[in-house]
Amino acid sequence: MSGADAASPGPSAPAPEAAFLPGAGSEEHPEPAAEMRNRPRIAGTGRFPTAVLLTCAALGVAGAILLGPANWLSTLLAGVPFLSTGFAGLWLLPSVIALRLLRRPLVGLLVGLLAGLVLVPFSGYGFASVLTNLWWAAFTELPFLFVLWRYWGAWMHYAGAVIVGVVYPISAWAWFDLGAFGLWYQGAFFAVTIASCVVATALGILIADRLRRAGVGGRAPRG
Amino acid sequence: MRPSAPLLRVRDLSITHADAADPSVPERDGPSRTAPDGVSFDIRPGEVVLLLGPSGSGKSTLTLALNGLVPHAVPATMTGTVEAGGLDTRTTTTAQLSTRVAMVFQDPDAQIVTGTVYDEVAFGPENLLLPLADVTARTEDALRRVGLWERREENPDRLSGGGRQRLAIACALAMGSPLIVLDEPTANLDPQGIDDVYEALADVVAAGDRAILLVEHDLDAAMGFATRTIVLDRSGRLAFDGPVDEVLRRHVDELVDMGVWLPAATLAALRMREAGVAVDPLPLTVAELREALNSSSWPLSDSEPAVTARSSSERSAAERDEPPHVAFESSDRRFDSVAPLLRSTTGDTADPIIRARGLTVHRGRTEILHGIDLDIRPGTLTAIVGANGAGKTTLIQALGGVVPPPRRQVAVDGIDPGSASPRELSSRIGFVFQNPEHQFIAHTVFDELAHGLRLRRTPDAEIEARVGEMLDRFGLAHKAGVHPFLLSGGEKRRLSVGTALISRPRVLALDEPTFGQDRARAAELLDLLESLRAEGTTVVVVTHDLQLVAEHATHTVILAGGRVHAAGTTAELFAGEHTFTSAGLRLPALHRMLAGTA
Amino acid sequence: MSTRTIDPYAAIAPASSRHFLYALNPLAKVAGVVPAMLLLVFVRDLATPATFLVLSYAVILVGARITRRTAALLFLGVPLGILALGSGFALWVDAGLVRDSIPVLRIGEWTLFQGALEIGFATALRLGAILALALIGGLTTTGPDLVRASVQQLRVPYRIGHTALAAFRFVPRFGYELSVIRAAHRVRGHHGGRGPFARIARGWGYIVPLLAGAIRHAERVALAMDSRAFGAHPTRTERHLVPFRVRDAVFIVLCLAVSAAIFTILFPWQLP
Ligand SMILES: Nc1ncnc2c1ncn2[C@@H]1O[C@H](COP(=O)(O)OP(=O)(O)OP(=O)(O)O)[C@@H](O)[C@H]1O
Ligand SMILES: Nc1ncnc2c1ncn2[C@@H]1O[C@H](COP(=O)(O)OP(=O)(O)OP(=O)(O)O)[C@@H](O)[C@H]1O
Ligand SMILES: [Mg+2]
Ligand SMILES: [Mg+2]
Repeated sequence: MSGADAASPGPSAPAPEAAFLPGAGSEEHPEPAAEMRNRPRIAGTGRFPTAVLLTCAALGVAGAILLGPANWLSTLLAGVPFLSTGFAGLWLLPSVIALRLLRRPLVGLLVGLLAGLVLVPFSGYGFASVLTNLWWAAFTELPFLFVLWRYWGAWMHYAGAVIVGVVYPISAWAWFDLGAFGLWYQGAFFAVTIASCVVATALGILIADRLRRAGVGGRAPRG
Repeated sequence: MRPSAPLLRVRDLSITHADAADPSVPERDGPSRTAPDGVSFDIRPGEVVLLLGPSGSGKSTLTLALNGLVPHAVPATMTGTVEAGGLDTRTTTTAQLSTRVAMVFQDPDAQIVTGTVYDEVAFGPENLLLPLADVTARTEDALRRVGLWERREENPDRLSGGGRQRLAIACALAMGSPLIVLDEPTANLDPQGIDDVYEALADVVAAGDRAILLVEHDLDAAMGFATRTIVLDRSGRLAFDGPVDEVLRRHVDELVDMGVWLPAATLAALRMREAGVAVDPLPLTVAELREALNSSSWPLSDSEPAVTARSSSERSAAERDEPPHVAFESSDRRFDSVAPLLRSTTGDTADPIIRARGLTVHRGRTEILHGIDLDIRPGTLTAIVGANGAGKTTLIQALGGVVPPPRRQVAVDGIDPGSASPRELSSRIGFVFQNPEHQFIAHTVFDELAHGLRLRRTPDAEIEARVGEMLDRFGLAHKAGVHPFLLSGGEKRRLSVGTALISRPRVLALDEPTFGQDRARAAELLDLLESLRAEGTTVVVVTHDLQLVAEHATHTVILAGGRVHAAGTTAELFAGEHTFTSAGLRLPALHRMLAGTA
Repeated sequence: MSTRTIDPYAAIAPASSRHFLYALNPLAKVAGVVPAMLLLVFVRDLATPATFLVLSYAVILVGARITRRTAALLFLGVPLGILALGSGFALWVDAGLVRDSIPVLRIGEWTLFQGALEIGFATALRLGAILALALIGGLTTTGPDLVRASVQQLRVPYRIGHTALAAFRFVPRFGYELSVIRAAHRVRGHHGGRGPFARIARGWGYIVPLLAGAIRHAERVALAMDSRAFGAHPTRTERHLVPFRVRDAVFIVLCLAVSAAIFTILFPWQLP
């Protein structure tokens, strides 16, 4: 059961995304043409304007402030099923906000990295929290990598959430020794992870849209 | 570089911000306005140029264009050319231009990027990839010039406001640029901080090889320092350009019309002129004013004191209220024409609406307020003043229940802010924060105003009516559907006052209401506060601007080191300069002159 | 969080010569322990994680200054955590896998087997060991030093590195802004209720103003940095050198050797 779950969203995801490329206009329209032209495609870091870098820093710190307590809670609750994985989605939240708000390549990863670095003194996991954060952030970035960051539809964020919702339990299999647990436990583990990631992604999109309405971030200078 | 070669060449510069927030609203300060508009000037070594203009005329925008932040980092369209040290800003990056033009921004907090004073100054030279020896030499030199060398190991956050602003100047010095641009470097500093900043600047220009472009609202501080002034008009066009005294004297009427602020001495002389006293030449400093007064042969008659013409900002309150009391005791009757600036009010008979007894406030482990006793009577406008760090914000927040004070030490309108529920609190006390953005909750201006009423379950029809009335009163009707964050600075401030007023609290407390506002806006806001006071609201403000206190407050509380240094009617307090100086403050230039000490 | 009082730039207190961990390059402290951390994920016994746990504690106790806070973490936090996790996991282990072992506890229909306890505690101990390894670097390095080392040794572009340094500076500022926004909302009677739901609603109301304020601040800081030649050249003069010396190499090699020895001796994997 879990195997099938894992397979379906993963490999099938790139197909519709690729299909969207030519017809991406509908979602792209809000962006003025000039703005699109000026944006680096797969930017070398040298082409990140400082304002974008520092906006990422601010979001990363916000993420770390959120993840600090979440990190301890999930550690303390790790023995109780679902409660700890129920927080899993929070690790996506900062990167989703950054991608949705700034709509630039690699900002999701950068925010994850910075949140991890800020967490180092507080998380109790030392540098491992940097790796953890990067791992989660990578999945928010993944769907956009497939379309070379040219298309920014909201559902792409959800695709990333579902992928990580499936991959995380699989990769955590060894970590939590899931094989030793009952089948229903395993199933619920998947369900809770996916739900948490999707909910957190929705939250992230909501927050980013609110920020845009407040006239923040979307105005970051172009390349 | 040849001494005559300009450090900066600006030709036909026009800038339009690329903010597409709401282009359909052609408002005075609305977005996508072209300001500055077609400006040309040069700056040469040794010049100290004062850039003047009404709010929104594009002064800040212009400074951003001088080192290429416009158009490289700030989204805006720019026409015309700016050449800094021979480099075209359009084709050179800001980073490269930084060796030609150094910037000091208004908010010192937003300029600090590292963890110690020393690292902060070294940051620029390090970026320039200078050899290590040069970096250390420049850093030390810059720090010594602004007097921060002894504190180089400290965290910049621990410096006072003036100290941080001096640090920002040191950072600009270390860039080695011949031109330094400063955008309102002394806003929100106490007199000591302002002195520190100008001392550092005077030292910089003394050598004569550097030039300074200064945007400043506090003309009194800048007057002895600037050699030339450039004035932008309301639409962002270049109005005047020339030596300071010449421009101010020759075009004073245009400047007044434009709303550009003038030195206090000049304003006073203008009032006298209106009163029929010829003061010539127009004084720019208090010393000149005194001289003019001493030498002038104006008609003095005891039976007919000089009539005073007051600026609009003072008129409203004075006329609504009791006749202005001239409480100022001057040995020379000739000063009476400026004395109505200092008013006193009666009303000390009623029971206090705000009462503090032994108010002691801790933050962390430090005791910040040490046993404050205070009575504020209903229907007064009380100003709380004091040097940076004296505890003004802490006091007003304790009185307003923002940070609940210890129980039974404060009573406001019959409740104890130390134990009252937020809902009770917000119905009695309207509190306006220094940064209005902090207190915005809703996503439109309308909802923002309606929030307080909805909390109280007011019927929809009444909400509609009261919010509509408030929108009209504050000139925000056309912005009802806009997100509060997208308003201009002045509009945000008015909205935050509106949200505090809508539930008709009997007490209104404001922390630095004039912060970030130009003086015209500040005066507008103070008129509003005075009219509220006349309607019976008790108003408490924290402010740095003593001129404003003198003109508007009925009562003044001076704080120093967490204690009440002095309290009383404004007129009483302003009669003696010593009360202020011993609290680290300074009377406005004019009052010092009247007190005979300037 | 208590971030407001913590100064991310405060240098870690001067180490005595015994406290060798402070003198090592941050990257060495990461590189030395990461292989062991990764391999630990895949072990199932009790002995291997226990050995690593003890060893890491020994290294920390010798090489780091033990403050009250770290002592509490090492001797209260971690053991309690392992205990709680171990018993928690034991409850959820699939009974079918451990039915052959000795029952330890019986409540009605439900039985706790010794095997379940073993699996539970192996899992908890494994997490504890990984944590302890991470603490070797985590307790003895400041974030800014890690960033500097990454710029100097790993050739991470310095603009990214300085973005991280700026992030450390934003931490106390967030605490300050949050307290102000909290107070402002309180004064306006926003979500004044008690209980967890009112609290969540309140927290939600802080997010947008807090982030908007922080991003505005970030944009202003960016202007100030650009004006001071940030990014003028691909590299910049470095005053704070975080050198990679022989001792760092020695530390890495030692760590790897010890890890390899432990894994070889205890070999926690059954060969097919
Ligand atoms: N980031 C921005 N986006 C859109 N419009 C802006 C922006 N910054 C400034 N403006 C607009 O550009 C014009 C010039 O603003 P600027 O800040 O340069 O004025 P100023 O002369 O410095 O005023 P003040 O004395 O109030 O500081 C104003 O109409 C302002 O509303
Ligand atoms: N949260 C805090 N923790 C420790 N000290 C604090 C805290 N808040 C304020 N202080 C200190 O208390 C003193 C009074 O601060 P307060 O903000 O009330 O001063 P202020 O008079 O409003 O100054 P300013 O003119 O600069 O606004 C200052 O020395 C300040 O450093
Ligand atoms: Mg300005
Ligand atoms: Mg204050």
